[in-house]
Amino acid sequence: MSLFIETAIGGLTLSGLYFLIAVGVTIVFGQTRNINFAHGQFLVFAALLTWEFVNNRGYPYVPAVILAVVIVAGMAFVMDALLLRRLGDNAFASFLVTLGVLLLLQQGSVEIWGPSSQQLRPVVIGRWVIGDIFVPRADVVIVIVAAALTVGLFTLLQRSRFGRSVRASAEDPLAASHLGVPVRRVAGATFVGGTALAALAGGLMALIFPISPFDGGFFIIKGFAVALVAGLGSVPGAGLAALVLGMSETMGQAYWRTEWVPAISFVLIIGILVLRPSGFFGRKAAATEMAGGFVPPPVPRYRPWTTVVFAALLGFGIFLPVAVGSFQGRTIAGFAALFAIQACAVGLFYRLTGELSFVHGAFWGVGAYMGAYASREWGWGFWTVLPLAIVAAMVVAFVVGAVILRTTGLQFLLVGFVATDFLALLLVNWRSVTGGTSGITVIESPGSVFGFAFFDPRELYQLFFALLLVALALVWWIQRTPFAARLMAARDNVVLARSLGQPVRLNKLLAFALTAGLSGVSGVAYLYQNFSVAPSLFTGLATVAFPLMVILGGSRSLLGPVAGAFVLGYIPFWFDLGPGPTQLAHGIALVIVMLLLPQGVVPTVVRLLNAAPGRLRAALETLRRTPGARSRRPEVDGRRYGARRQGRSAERGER
Amino acid sequence: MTLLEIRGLTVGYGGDPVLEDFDLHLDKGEVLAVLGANGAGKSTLLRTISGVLQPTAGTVRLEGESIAGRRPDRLLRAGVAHVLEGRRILSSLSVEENLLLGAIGRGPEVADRLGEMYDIFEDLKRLRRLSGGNLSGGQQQMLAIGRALMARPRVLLLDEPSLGMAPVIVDRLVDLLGELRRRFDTSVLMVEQTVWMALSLADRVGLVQHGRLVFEGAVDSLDESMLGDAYFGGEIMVSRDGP
Repeated sequence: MSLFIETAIGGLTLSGLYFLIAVGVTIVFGQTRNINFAHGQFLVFAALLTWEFVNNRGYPYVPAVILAVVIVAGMAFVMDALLLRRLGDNAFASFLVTLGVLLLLQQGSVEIWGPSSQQLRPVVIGRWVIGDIFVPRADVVIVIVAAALTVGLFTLLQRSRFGRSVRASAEDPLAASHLGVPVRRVAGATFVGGTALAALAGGLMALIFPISPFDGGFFIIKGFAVALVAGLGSVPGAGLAALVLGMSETMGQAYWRTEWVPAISFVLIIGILVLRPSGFFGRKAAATEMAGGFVPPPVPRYRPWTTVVFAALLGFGIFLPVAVGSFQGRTIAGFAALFAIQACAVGLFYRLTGELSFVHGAFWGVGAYMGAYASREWGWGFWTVLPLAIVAAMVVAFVVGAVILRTTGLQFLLVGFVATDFLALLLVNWRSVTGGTSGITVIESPGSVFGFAFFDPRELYQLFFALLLVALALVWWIQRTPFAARLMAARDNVVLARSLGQPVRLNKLLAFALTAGLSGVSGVAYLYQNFSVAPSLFTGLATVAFPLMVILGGSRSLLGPVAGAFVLGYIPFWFDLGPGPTQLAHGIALVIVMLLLPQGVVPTVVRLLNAAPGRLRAALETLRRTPGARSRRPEVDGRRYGARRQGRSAERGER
Repeated sequence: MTLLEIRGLTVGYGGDPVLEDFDLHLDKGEVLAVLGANGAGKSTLLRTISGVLQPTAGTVRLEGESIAGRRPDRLLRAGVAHVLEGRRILSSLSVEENLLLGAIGRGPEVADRLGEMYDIFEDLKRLRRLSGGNLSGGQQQMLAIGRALMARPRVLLLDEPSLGMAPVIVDRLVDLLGELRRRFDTSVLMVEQTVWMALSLADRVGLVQHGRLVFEGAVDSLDESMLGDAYFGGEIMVSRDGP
């Protein structure tokens, strides 16, 4: 009995912390229709700041927490003003930028404090003894603070003018703005306030848990689970859901099996988004707002000159590892080529359905692990493993897709991320097959086929590049089939497609499985390039690089994902970065691309190249003519572009 | 005395402008009704005045001060309130909270105004604890107007107040708007499809056709052929064989 009560007290403490995380997620979504992926990382950052102030600088605990909260709130303010505000109502871009901020914060923390867990010097010590029950004082502090904040927050939202403004602009920003609510400023204040709550949770959490820079993803998953189960926008609901999750996790740890406890939040998130996206207390509308996809404009047609340049680049690709020379360079090139295959799969699925898949990283892992298992257990070689891995990835995708393709937009993105984490957890826990955390090592090479030998990194690269070319041809062909046309029609107007009798979800599922086959190919290639697989390579955050490659290179373009894979793959090589700083670079790349080149690198390059001959001709013309003729062209251009820009801003105003 | 003055206004949604070189003025204390067919540009006019749309050319001045391009919440502070088409009552707020949200200022002043609104709109007083979403269409329209008046605007923009209302409710609305006119010195610029309602409230009328003002003047100087022109783009066809 005393174990039960002590566990319940622990559960209550955890619930309080989860509530503080989730409430920020939920009210920020209400204002911005967006999910801040970096939310949990801000918590971790605040916890580490608290640790720094208390342990290393000897500050008392309370001022240390306050200082940490103020610093993190300031960072949130800067993030809102410099990044989110500039992206406006493009929820998709904002989401990806918050992901970039997560990577930046995480690696920034590692740079400052190192990768290991930090334990706060005990500041609230001792416990009360009631009968045979021990009540730790730190837990009591946390519960009291969380409860006080809950009451305070609820009163603020229900009773104050600010609270009314928050609720009004969550429901109808236009109406609120006509009633004098400075909508954008309210959203900014909510973002800063919600993040400050997470920071406070971080400061409190440091009292009882050691904190590592890599915990951010873990905490945001908890926040999502609570906020989604409650229903986005519902603060009291979040209280209840936090209690359920906190209690079940602590009870699970005490009475069930610790290693499966993380699965509780995964199952909650996937289950709720698939079965009841509005949660138990949320507005229906919030769920639909999350379901909207985002498709960038199509890539302009290639002019002949542009085609020549791209063909030359592809041709150059084959000789690349010869050109760069070093052993390390060739290895990097091999990785880039096999990443490109995976990016092609994600890119194709995005173009066909408008959904950005974070779950293809899991199918990539399935391919790699299937290959590793067949190789270790049955002694199969590359060419027999390859079809097996393709089939395995497609079968898993078919089953997983049947469940998660019920979601769309941000929901799908989130479910994909969580499902990938779920798979990584399976890989850790299913030791007899997967080898647990240390994974499987396979030192094999594809051998020789048709007189071609594939042993050293250069030959492997050429094999993968050939596979990439096959994949590209396949993708190019699929995009031209009537099947693709039907899918894209459904992407642009799902209601219309359904009313015309299209089995939209089945088509999506087929496309999902088809592209997962490509992931399987890339997974096997990864195994042979890397010689080993381990669960940590296949978590949601570790496989974020793939959608990132697609966005960076240009999601609407065939070659975009390939370009993205090579750019991201080569960043660590060019700048001589380890794995941590690589992630940092990925974060920076993500933020910069979303701000400056939201359509990606390839479409921008195509546009520039298409215009290049004309510009060149015009430049030559001006050189030949009298100086007076010079001013004419820009003036005409300026007027035309000016007019178009004004039109666009009027359009934006309408929304 | 001119309160709101619009000159040379051009505005659109990216393609051809909806309003082109549009002039209009609203005098202090008057009710001006802007009439016209669907798509003539009436709502666009109100949206531009209240800062939702940015004009590509022209000026909007409130007592001589340019207000074009200001955000809606700033405009409200400057004294221009806009009752949006479709009422847009906030259902996550109670009736009273809807009213309070519209108020500018603090404490006793706001309480006074709330009392005043409850005097005029007795229904709202009875329903004040209910969620705004539970009201009927007519009650919501009263709430929308009351909510806008909580800011004590100098100019009230009304977008199709009778839209979707039963005739009985429209009668009541006409009475109420008349009473509001007597009580407050708010000038009203209304856009309306129900012509008799507009004409029974307005001092002056403007007719919009294809984004241009084709008539402006006192209500009695408007003749029916002009209305027919504005609504049907020509003489009214009485039979298929011709006029």
